[in-house]
Amino acid sequence: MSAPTPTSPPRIASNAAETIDARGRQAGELSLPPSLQQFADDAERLPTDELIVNMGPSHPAMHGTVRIVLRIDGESIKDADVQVGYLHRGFEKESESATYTQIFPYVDRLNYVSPMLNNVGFAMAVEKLLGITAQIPERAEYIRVIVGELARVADHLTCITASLAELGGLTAFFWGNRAREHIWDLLEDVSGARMTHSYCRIGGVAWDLTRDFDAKCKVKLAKVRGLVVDIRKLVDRNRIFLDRMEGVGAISADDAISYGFTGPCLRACGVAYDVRKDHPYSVYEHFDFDIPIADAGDNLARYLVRIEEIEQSMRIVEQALVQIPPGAVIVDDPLVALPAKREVYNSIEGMIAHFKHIMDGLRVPVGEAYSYTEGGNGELGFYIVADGSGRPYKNRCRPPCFYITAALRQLIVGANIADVVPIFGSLNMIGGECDR
Amino acid sequence: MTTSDPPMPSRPRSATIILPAEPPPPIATTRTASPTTVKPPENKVAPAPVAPNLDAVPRPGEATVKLTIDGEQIEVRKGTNVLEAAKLLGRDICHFCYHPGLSIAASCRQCLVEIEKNPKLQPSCQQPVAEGMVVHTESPVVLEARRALLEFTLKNHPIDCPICDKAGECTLQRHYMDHDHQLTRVDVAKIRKAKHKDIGREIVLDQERCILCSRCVRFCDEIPGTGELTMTFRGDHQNLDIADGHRLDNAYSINVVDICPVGALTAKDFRFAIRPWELKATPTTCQGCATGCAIELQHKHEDAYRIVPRHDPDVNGHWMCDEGRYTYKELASDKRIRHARVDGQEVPLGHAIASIARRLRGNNKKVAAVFSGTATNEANRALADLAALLGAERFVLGRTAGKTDELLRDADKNPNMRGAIAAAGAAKHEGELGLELAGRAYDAVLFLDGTFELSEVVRSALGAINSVCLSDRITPLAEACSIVLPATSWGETLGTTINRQGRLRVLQPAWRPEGDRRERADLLRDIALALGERDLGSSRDRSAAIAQEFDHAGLDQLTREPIAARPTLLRFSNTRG
Repeated sequence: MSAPTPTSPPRIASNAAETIDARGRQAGELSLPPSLQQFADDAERLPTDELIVNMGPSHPAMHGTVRIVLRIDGESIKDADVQVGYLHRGFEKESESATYTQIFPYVDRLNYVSPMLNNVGFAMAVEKLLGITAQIPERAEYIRVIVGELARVADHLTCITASLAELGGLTAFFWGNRAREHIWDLLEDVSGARMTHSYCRIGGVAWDLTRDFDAKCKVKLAKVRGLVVDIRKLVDRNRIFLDRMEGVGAISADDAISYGFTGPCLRACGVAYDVRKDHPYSVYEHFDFDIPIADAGDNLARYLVRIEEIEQSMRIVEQALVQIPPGAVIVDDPLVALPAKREVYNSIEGMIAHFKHIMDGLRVPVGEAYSYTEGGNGELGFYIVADGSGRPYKNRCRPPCFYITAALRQLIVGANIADVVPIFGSLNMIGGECDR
Repeated sequence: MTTSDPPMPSRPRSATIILPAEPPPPIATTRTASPTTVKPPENKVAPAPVAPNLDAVPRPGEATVKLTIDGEQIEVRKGTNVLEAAKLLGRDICHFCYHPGLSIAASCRQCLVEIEKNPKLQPSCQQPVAEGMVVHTESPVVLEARRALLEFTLKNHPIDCPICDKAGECTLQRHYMDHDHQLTRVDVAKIRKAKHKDIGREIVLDQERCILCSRCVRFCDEIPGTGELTMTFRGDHQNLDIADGHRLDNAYSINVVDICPVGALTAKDFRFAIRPWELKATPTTCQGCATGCAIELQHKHEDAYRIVPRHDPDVNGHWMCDEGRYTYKELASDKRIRHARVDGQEVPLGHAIASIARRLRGNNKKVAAVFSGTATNEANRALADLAALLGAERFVLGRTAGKTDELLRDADKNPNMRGAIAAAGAAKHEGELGLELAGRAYDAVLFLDGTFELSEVVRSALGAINSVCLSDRITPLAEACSIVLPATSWGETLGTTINRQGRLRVLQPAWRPEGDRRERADLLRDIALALGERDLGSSRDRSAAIAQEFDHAGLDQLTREPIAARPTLLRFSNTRG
């Protein structure tokens, strides 16, 4: 815009020629009627005015399960109040009125993208109380490892591709979901359900793998590998992706440990802690696998750790399929395992055992136990207090992502609004698990 | 039998050891339920059936015996048996045929224990304790014997759990899981016997399920003394059956269902009605007659399904009568009055109370207050206070007299006639006569309960005056009254009654009252307030005062806890069977 010429000054109030107005403007400058002036002044001040904005719970990137009250200055976040609890289902209280076996469907719904891992974690806690950890048939342990690691693959794929979708990378999302479908096909073959499997039992698993599981698994894993390679080709060197991920949402190893981080988020900070290696349980000692770590502790590091863990999990599954021994899939103890159906229908002993098992529940001796496993997000722990009845007196769950979500405030304060989405996505907060 | 033989004792017949704890109770005298003059009846001696077996708790002044059970030394009452002694140590020796209220048969052999210096295992129920005895209840030999006996008992047991009423509270199921829990080793056909055999007014017998413990046989022999049941044939083919030409029709027959450890004897009233684990149990008092047996009211939500006796050595022992078991039908939800009615119109409770106040107000109004033997002490005392404020004439009414016997059933079918008479104090009238008078001589009459029988004379008398009835269910009297207030039934009431022995009996609420239903004493308090009179105090205050008066700690506790909902789940239940 050219400067005003003397002949046609943009003058509105000619009578104020020689005065300096209240706003300190020189006479002759542009002046507006008071109402418009107010509007213009507000607009001028806007960039420096702080604003409270709700992000979630109905924001698509917040999964409907978390609400962040942001205090923003323009695009930058000054403060944040992360509020969880939107998916609180009373899991722990509900457990107190369910038999130990009836709790499996509830734990399915903790981390609902890797229910098999929750199944295994809960079963191990009860087995610890019963003192039968050493008696679980080896085949059952191998099956638990196989389905658990498949669930971990599905979990990481979901986390990675969902956060890519939130960044606009919808192609990667579709490919990732296709890979996840392959995993779910396998788990459906085994358990009958795609997501809420309830496949584990105290003392083993519900039934054996399908006869063609081995062959089918190899085919499916090859397909998953191909799709993971495709996704990596698409995003690993993608400038948009790297700009959003690299250096964003970084946390130091010390901070991560003090928050109680475990799992991929901790390993992305350079701490090689994995329950499967550090406190080996089940038959994990029998496998050759690596714990991937990254140093930066940022979004990209978490992505890289997860994508590498997919490969490591598939390695474990492949080794397990080779090593898996034949035999029973549940402990041979009528006080723990349900009798076979033919016994239930044809003998009074089997009928009573079945009836008491279902109606009264397992008789877990008085005591308490904490058992922890490597879940999809880190250390998944169950602390159970048994009062000698068929139902837990208390069933406390240590959800790994609850502690990780606690750090969200620190990670997003100082970042831009747009960074909340990839940071939150890369932490993989699962409402079902965090809120229970 | 020759004529020179001494006469056989009439009961018990099948007992092997009888240890009478006390002399048999004197026979209770019958009395008419509606005396023409109102005076408190004399206390009766407790006619509770005496348990033939002594519990093991030492009594002061009685001889004791020291013995060792599983390495623990214990001092018990002399004359008790090893099974009862082990109970004191918290060891529940598994058994089927032993029942503390019946004679000992030792036929099931399930309670075998090892006693040192004894070459064979001994049934602990039949073994009296002796000084220095050393007992092992969990030695390998004992465990193996238990397991083997269960296996034997199960050999012919039908696979009925899914359709059996006892499933869930079945002793056989419990013992199998506790002591056997191995799968079957035999593959032979089970012996078939009669199923669902109608053996009496209340009872259906399934002979296949019977494990031949003979508890029911001993019950019929020893408690009602009618002896209808017997065992026929032997071995695999042994049967529980009714004696020729008899039916199990005694007044206490449903007790055999309670004591049956399996589902061989089931009550027609409860068969297939509901699964026992869906029920919750509230300990309360039977409202069927003046005996006031200790019972458990078993209910799901707000619907009662059955009544079972609770053990109360001072009142009813282990038993109760069939008549009392059916009193839960009074609580049926389709008969409940949920809202107040004024002249046939359903109105909010406050409106009805205001209407009552309007109709009772006035110095020259003559009011009759009708106390009830079916209402609690709290209600009757509240009515006494209100009657004093109104200067009302007092009447006491109750149910008409019914059947009686020497055991538990009392001819007075009112649970609290004593309490009502005591509360009414200077009452002049009782029964039909009083109602007729009320019709002729009074402007208004206030009934504490709607259970009284209604004759045509009374109906016409009530038509001419203001009549108020506090009732929990639709009855002829409630329908004949111009104002009906919704009161709580005995399933919803915290209150007390006084039984024929003069004992305070406590009623506990099993569920929250629906609609506008309130405690009678609270309704009367509201009426007094609406009349502008002093506050009479709540029903709960009265309960607390009664707890003080009778020094009753349990009632005192109940008045402080707002709702006494103590549902008893049947998980791992030890309470029945």
